[in-house]
Amino acid sequence: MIMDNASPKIHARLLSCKGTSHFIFQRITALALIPLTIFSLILVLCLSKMPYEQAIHTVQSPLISVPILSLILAGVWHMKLGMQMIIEDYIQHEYLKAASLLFSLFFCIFIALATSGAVLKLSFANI
Amino acid sequence: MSTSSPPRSNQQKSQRPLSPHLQIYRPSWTMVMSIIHRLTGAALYAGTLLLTLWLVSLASGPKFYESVQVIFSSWLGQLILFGYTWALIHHMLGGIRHLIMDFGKGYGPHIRIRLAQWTLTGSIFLTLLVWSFVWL
Repeated sequence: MIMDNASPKIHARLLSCKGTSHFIFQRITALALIPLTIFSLILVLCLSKMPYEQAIHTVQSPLISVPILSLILAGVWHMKLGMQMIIEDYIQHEYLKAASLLFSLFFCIFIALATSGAVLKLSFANI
Repeated sequence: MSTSSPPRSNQQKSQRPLSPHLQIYRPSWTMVMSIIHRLTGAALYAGTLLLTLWLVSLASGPKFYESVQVIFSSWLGQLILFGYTWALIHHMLGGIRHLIMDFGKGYGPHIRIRLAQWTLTGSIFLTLLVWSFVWL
């Protein structure tokens, strides 16, 4: 209704109102990260004391790999939103802000793909 | 009505003075914890590269994993990992404090100071607890 007669520029600005959505997802991912962080701290402690073979077999179990993947999903989403807020707060130059936001997004996607790729590679490995 | 200003070139930057903030505000527990929450968040963001390196090395074979283990076992590696653990735990406790305040609780004159203090003491205690399992 509000958008019925909007010019393209106004339409774009109205669609870019993601403040509430970001607020909510930041809280949801934060909530998920509390148990996932505790889990991952215990996991890293245990893995660091294991020989390589045993570490591999531990991560291959879905009981471990699924929480790791959940951690990656929630963590990367949470950090993407968080860094976006930092960039929006401190970088005022329009083009530098846009470039920084884009770089942050690509960095987060890289982290997500690299880590989950490693976990999935182990999950499907024949060791 | 749009309130944002067009991008400014360096020549057009205005010479208007800014009101002093960091120079004059007396640091309070809540203010400092808020700043540290943001700083730890940014540090954790950068540190995900370390976690990625470790996970990728695990999936890459015993030789690569061994060399990454050696790097992480060095005194500098241990120092960085210790700092990262503290940043993680502190950011988590600070996040819990923010979640409590999101529901409207914890704004009273005494409890807000206490919550901020517990964030710091809790993070130091828990970091030492976690690392006692590494070293002992």
